[in-house]
Amino acid sequence: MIDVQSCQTCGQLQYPRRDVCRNCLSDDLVDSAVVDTGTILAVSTLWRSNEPRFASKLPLYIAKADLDCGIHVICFAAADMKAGDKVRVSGKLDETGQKIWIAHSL
Amino acid sequence: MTSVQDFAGVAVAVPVTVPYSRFSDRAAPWWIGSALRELLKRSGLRKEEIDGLAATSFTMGNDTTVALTEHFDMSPRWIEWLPTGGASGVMALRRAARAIQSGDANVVACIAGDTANPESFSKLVANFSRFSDEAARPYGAPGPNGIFALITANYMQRFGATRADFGAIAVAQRANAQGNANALLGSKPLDLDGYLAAPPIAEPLHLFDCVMPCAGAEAFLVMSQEKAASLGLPHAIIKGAIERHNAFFSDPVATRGGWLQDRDQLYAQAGLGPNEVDCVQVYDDYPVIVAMQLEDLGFCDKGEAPQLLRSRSLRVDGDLPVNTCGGQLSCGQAGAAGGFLPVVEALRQITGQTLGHRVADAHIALASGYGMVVHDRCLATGAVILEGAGR
Repeated sequence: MIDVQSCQTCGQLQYPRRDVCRNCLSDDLVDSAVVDTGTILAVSTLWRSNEPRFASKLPLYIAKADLDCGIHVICFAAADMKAGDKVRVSGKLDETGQKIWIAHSL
Repeated sequence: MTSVQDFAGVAVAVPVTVPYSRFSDRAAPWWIGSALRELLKRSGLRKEEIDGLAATSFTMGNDTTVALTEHFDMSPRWIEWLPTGGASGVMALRRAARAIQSGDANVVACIAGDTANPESFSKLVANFSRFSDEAARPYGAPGPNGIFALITANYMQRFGATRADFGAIAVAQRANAQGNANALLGSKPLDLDGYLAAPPIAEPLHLFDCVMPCAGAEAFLVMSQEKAASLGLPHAIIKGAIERHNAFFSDPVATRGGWLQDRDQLYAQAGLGPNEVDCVQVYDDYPVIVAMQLEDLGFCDKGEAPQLLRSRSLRVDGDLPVNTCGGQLSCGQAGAAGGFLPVVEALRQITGQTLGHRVADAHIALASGYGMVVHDRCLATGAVILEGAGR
């Protein structure tokens, strides 16, 4: 399971985080645990970064994943992932404290 | 929905380009001020006669149009600021036209200008938006290249496009740039082999899919047709114009933009169809977005741009002239001025004031815009159809 911001008024899940519900505009928002599976829609191999902190890690593999809970996220991917792959997504904090999503093959 | 008022009586005139530069020590107001100076020189108007100012820039810090009025000692009675990048040209034109029609201004100068240095671009992409900082930047800080790589990959997967299809766009635009002294890459020929052999940036994007940031400015004047005629200015009239923001927000990866939602209204207002358009100037931050606009603006159906690109020519002398000055892919991306380029080039083509090659008998042009990657696609879209009026 993963934590995703959800609306207590209408049940809408949303990402990135918002200050009010994207659907009904309620501010009664909490983080809810939701199912962590999804499908890869597109992948990219990055050979350039705008920030020095990523330079030594290139190439990096990123993807767009459509999660079964209804949100879609950019995430880190494995080198061999491709569109259509079923994945599980986990969240963790990167070295700056920013939450990031990582896709794992199922 | 009540019917949208037309743009009768409004003229667009005096296309101005301040020659681009790969890097610049000048600040953005130098670029914008230089464009204003040229607008005055070419129109014969005095600065005091410009009573409307619409501006946009990414490199003015917290300053906006009102700060420019003090910079240039202007006292306009109407101003507009357009922090919408690639859509800012169409949006400035629409707003200025309404100001003319309502009498809120007599002459509006619409100007986009940006400087460029090694720091300015990375500073811009690092703090571009809150959603981007949370949901895009942590993934290797790829800037727009990463976002549009995913959009391109998804498009290729869904619609069977190949790299060569996108190469056809880059190669045609490079050919179009030859003869345009303002195109920073215009003297560097590009063929399909060269396009395909380029180094990868964010696969499937390679070097020639990406624009080169630069400094520059683009500008035009909006006034009544009567005024343009009295000044003896070649000008265009606005046949129709649309804009739409955050269209199709439920699509997990963008395959279409706001143009699709409003194009029927655009052509109905203009009283013509895509086949009657002599040249098309679309926002070209990446080739896939050119393909998407050709589809969404009705030049082919969704997913059929690859077939269109295999059978038609986007060159100035081709059967579907697109981005006839070379576009940003060959001129460089002068910040927000890139969002003005389609409008300015459309105006140049239909008023016979091109910097490079002109489409034979160009009379009707379509210009479209696409701006602001706040998260995973551009949110702002717009399009305008212009027709050349008296010479």
